Amino acid sequence: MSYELRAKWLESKVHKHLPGESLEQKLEERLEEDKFIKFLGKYIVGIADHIGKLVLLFFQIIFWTFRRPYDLKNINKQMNEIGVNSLVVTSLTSVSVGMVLALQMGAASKNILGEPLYVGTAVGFSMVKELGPVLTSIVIAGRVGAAITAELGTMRVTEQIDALYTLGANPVKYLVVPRFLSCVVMVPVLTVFSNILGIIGGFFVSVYKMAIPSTRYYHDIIDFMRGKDIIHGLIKCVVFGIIIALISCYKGFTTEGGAEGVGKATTQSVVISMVLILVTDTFLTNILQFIGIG
Amino acid sequence: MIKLTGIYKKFNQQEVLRGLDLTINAGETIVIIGRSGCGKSVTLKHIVGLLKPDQGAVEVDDVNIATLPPLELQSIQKKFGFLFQGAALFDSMNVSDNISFGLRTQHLMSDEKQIQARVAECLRLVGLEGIEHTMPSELSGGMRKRVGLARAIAAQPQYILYDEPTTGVDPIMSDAVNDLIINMKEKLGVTSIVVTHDMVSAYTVADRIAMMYHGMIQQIGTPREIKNTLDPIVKQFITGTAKGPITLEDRG
Ligand SMILES: Nc1ncnc2c1ncn2[C@@H]1O[C@H](COP(=O)(O)OP(=O)(O)O)[C@@H](O)[C@H]1O
Ligand SMILES: [Mg+2]
Repeated sequence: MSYELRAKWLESKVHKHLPGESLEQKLEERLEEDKFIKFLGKYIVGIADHIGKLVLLFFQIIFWTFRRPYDLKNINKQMNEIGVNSLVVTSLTSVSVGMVLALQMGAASKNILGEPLYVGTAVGFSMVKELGPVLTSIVIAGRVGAAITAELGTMRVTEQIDALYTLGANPVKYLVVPRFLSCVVMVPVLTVFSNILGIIGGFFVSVYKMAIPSTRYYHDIIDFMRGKDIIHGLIKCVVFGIIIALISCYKGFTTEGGAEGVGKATTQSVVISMVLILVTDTFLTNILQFIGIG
Repeated sequence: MIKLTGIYKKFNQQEVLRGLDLTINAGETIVIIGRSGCGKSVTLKHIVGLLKPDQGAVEVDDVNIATLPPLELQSIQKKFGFLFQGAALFDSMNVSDNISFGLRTQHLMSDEKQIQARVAECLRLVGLEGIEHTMPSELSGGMRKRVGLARAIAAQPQYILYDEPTTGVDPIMSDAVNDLIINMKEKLGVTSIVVTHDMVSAYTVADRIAMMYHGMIQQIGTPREIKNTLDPIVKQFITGTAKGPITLEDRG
């Protein structure tokens, strides 16, 4: 119903308006309410629409992943781009984080207990279960997610994705599947590297700065760490890898509006991935602890 | 044969196609003319199934592709070669890989020598011999267009859709492109749909010319009929005058 029609309709309905309040005022209010509900409705429908399309894209990816022929050349290229070329950044991040964790834990336990205790335990668990997966994923979302969205978005606005269709190549199979597989495989692989490097970073600080015996640091980790703690971290990585690939490919595929559109889509892709990673992490930790994994 | 019936298409609130009807017979060359933004490219994209109509049917050899599931649509799309308005070359690949892309994905040729020979032949047809290993970013606009053309014809499709094939191409090369379009028809029996603003090219290559206006076909006829049209809108367009029933704000 248009606003004019609705105003007329309300006019015929609203007889009992309060004294001192004009009919126009009341109508105005109702119309404002109307606008708000419309806005809210549009927003919610918009989000539902995006989620639906993401789920659809996910199923398409699964379908095309298992359909022959496998595009090994492209998969290999993306594994390199996403995995190997990210190693330096993720390593730097994790070494620094491992070191700073050891410093803080050492200082804190020294203040409270008089000597640096359980530094290895703190560094090990934090890295393996939380910081390794989350920080690695966030770095990858920034580096790789942005690159994927920018590349696919540019291909979209320059009609290269349409061109793929007309030349008999399915864009999901040709573009998305290699990137998706690479993210799902490489995020966990990079996280394992990160975990090891973080723990080594913590080791150097503990041994050389806080004079903790190296066997002490080692046992602080090994005596408490269980297999399921490691699995806990790895499950998260896989989920984060899926999030990065899905969001960045979706954002790229739905880019509109030229160069400016590509920029916007890229920013949104990174922001959405990062927020989703952190939010999902909270839920996932709860769920995994509930079912007894870590 | 391609048959469009009652096509409606809206983007957001903007109605682009409003009940467009158009039939393209096998073996003929149809030229679509009309103002920029009147929906010519959108029409071409409906014909290959890149866009779906809100209403109406797009029949390609008696199959309505508007309602076809994706995998079946893909097999229909193999009948088409499409030259995009902006060429749409894959900029991560060199010219040779661009042109051979369709040959490889559709498994039309497996022998590498054969593929290279076909690539060289297509490049020769568009007057660009020997640029196989150049990247698209190193080419001028007109050259990109012609590589796009080579890519569109490489797999020897039954239908070729040209979106402004001579825009950005110098006059001498334009004439060569016209010859190419005519040759494709005469030697290979290809059905062509050409979108152009270039009236010289339109009169040269067309069996029939269709003018689009306000999301519909305003008039369709042989080049002679269009030249001698009495329709004031068509007349204004083909003579290119600013005064007439079409105003400058009216984007058609
Ligand atoms: N994917 C799209 N999303 C929104 N609007 C579009 C899209 N494609 C085309 N349009 C609009 O449709 C109209 C017709 O475009 P087009 O067919 O490209 O014109 P032309 O006749 O110059 O080729 C233009 O106003 C354009 O803005
Ligand atoms: Mg166009």
